[in-house]
Amino acid sequence: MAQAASFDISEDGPDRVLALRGDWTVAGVAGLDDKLRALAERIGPGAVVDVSRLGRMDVAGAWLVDRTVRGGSPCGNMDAPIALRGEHASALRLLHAARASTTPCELPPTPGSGLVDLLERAGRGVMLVWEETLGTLSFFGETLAVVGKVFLKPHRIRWVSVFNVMEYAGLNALPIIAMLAFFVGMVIAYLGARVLADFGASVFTVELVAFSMMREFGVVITAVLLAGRTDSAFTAQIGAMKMRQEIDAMRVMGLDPMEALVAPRVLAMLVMTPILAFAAVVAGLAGGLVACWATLDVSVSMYFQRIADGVPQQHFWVGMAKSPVFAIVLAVVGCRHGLAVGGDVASLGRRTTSSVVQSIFLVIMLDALFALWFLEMDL
Amino acid sequence: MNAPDDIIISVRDLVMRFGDQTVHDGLNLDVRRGEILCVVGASGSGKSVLMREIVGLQKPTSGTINVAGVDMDDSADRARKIGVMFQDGALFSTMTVRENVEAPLKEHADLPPQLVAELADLKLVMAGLEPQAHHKKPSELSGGMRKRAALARALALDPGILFLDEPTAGLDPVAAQRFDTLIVELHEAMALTVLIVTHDVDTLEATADRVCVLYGGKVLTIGPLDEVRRFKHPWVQDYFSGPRARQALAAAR
Repeated sequence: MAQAASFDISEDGPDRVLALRGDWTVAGVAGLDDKLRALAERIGPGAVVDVSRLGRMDVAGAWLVDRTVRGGSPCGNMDAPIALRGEHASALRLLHAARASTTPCELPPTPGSGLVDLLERAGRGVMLVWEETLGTLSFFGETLAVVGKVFLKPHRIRWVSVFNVMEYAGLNALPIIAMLAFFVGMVIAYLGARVLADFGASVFTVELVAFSMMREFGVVITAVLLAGRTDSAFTAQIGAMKMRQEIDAMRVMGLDPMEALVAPRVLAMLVMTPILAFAAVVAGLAGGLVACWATLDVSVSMYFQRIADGVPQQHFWVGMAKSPVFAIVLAVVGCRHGLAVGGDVASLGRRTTSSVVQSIFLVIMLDALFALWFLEMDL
Repeated sequence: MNAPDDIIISVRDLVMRFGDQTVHDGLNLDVRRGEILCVVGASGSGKSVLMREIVGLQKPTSGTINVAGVDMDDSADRARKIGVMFQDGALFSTMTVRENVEAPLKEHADLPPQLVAELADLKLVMAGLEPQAHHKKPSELSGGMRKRAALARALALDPGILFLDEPTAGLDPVAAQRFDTLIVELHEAMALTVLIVTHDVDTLEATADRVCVLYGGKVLTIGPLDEVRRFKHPWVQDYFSGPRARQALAAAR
């Protein structure tokens, strides 16, 4: 069984003697660290170590003893003699091993002033935003060039990849997007019925649902969901390929990752986002119908009649017109962050996070700009 | 230095099957205390699986593995007494090199933080990593430095037994030779029992007290390198008479 480590200090003629007892192993020396640090000035340098009653010793124990006879500091007197008294199987060897691997101390970093540090961090933050903007814009340009080039030579389009992405990024997202849009349509209808009833205009709930789903919510819900679901998947897939040097291998073989990885994703998103947005609009209208029917007793035929009469078609097209733009934004942001992943796992996580945050931010910001623009255009 | 019958790891009638593929078919192996035992064998002969079974990462289909003084069912006890270095280092990529070595110390030894840092630095220097590298992330290190950091982490808790999986794979010959020397030095300084899984004939020549050849799910032969080399078996002969092996053995002479 392990014996508790302990020590004694005594004077023996001219020598100070540090007598060790018990097992000086990593499991047993925890309590001795503080004591030895405090007493080191008095003990070392030059103390004789009495190992005659020492049990087992390992490198951790040897380090403590050696640090003490060197004066207590991790980088104390490296020339202090290692003098032993008594016999021990391994103590001398371990003490020499510990001494041999001791490093000179590093100078402590000079503490900066708090204000300067704050300004530096703020400056770095601003520069980072600027660099990200620039990076996204230049990647956007590059993507457009590559996609344009691919369109000019349609045989270079990687159809297998395009359809693969269309399936997992588009088709597989359909149920969740339709379901969410359905619920949002219901919520809008309930809110409308409640608020408009105060003005005696609750029958306009139908128009409210149709307006908002067609113009805004259908496509925005789709884009935000795709940002969380598909954009993050793009970043993770491409980032994992980058980490495992697959991207480098492609480059060496003369395959352009932009053409092989980015272009198919952009194309697939360009096809699928409008379809998904359309599905979201339909599902939202269905949700509105259920709520109107339940709260306002609007019949199915009346619901669609009111939409056909009261909501001009242009609103539907205004909403759908935005979907290809969001598609490109999502694909570009997802792929850019994927290709920017470094060699370590942590950067993959960071890039995936910022990819989702940036794409949602861009979707909502662009949507606001579109809203302003379409209103000014009287559409 | 040690009696030949002082057995620290004993493997008895080990059988390991994955589906209908039998990796170990009644394997017996004794590892003596304080020796460096190198395990060689063709790819797929179950060298790494044997190591994973002994350190408790994989449960054998049947058979027993005893490690003297270690309660194999107690993961904390196992971690304190057995150190493992994986082939690619398996360093935690989100931590610096020093934090990697501190991790087992923090988990299994109740030490003050300052001492933990001092011990981590000590182990890293013992493994041959200069102090400038201690604050780097594993991704910023070369392959050889990563292996050294991984070795330092395996030795963090002063285990009595050290397992090395392909320690020199992927290193240039100079770095590989230094790593072999380092293993021998640490083996002497810390009185370790070392089990090395390797393909590298240079490593056998430089480090092994005994060599164990795995073939057909069993230990084909075990003993000092000179005896194993003369063992009459086609695979062993091919292994030691290939041009690379001849070069290594000639260079060692």
